[in-house]
Amino acid sequence: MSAIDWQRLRRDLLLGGVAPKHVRRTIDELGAHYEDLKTQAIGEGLQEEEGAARAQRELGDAATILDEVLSKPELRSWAATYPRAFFLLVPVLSVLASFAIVIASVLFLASSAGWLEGLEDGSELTLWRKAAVESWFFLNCYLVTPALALGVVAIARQRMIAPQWPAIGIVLLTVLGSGWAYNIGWPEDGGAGNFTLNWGFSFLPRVVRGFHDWQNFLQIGFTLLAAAAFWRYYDPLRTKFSSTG
Amino acid sequence: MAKTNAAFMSGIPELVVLRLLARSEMYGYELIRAIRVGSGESIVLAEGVVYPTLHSLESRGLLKSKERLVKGRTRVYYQTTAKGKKRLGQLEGEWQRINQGVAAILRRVICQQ
Repeated sequence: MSAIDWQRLRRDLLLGGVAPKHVRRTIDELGAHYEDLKTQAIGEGLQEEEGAARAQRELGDAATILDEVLSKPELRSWAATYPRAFFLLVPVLSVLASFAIVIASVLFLASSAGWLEGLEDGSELTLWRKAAVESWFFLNCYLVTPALALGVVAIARQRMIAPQWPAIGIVLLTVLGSGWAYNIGWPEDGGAGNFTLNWGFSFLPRVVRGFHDWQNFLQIGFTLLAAAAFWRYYDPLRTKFSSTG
Repeated sequence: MAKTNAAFMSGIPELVVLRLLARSEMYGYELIRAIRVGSGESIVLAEGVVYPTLHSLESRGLLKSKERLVKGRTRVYYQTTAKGKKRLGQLEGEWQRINQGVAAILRRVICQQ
């Protein structure tokens, strides 16, 4: 019986739709079991090679183990079992969740500073509070969507899922996530401040798109390029980036 | 040593694993040894196939696991949960019923010969 090729078994399990956490545990525990069998065989007086062969025989061949794992549907990942639903729903929900978080956090910042009700005469918003709000808006406008897209790529690559549904999901996520724009009106002269949130694209008539501009398209291009590069260079079978794709 | 006939093994690993792990927690290698010794070497599995069974039972809430570092090696210890013990009771009942049924048929056939 030939020795188990762990890397190949890992790949076959992932391609079979097994969730990465179960793949990792299966490989780790089988490896430890193999070492225990080998140690015992050597302890009984066998040579290193004979001990390894006996350990391999007792552990079973890769095909038998693979069949056994694949026969358990409860070990499959959601993304592999329902790729269409997963890669269409997750992007939409993650974009909506990220913007819900932004709105909630801005409301919190604004209400804690008395920003929406108007400030007392002569007082001003502190610089750090303005900077915090601006940074938070900037992060959400320009970094959250690419980060979510990379997250979707990582999920798909770690599960070795065929690219069509993840690609559609990433395009959907990018378009949804890149169309948002915020506008902050700082409180002045005792008046109330405001913030507005818009969604749209500059190819739409101005009345529909509000004040969006070419930056949306820059963000779409950047996000799609980053996602494509990540897909190309992220190798789930290695712990680090690989040029072999 | 010859492996046990696979056609007779459907459902048996689940029953045996739940039974042994209800008594005390064990890691995979220990469990396989306990199956061999406990069955008088009549149940011999390809040892690697016990892990998918353990993971499957755990994901169904019938087992729980805990990682421990023993002599520089990480061991995953498994134990039957309360839900697993309930399932064990059902499986034992089914097993006794089938076992008695098969034994009765075999006795009758032998008597007719």
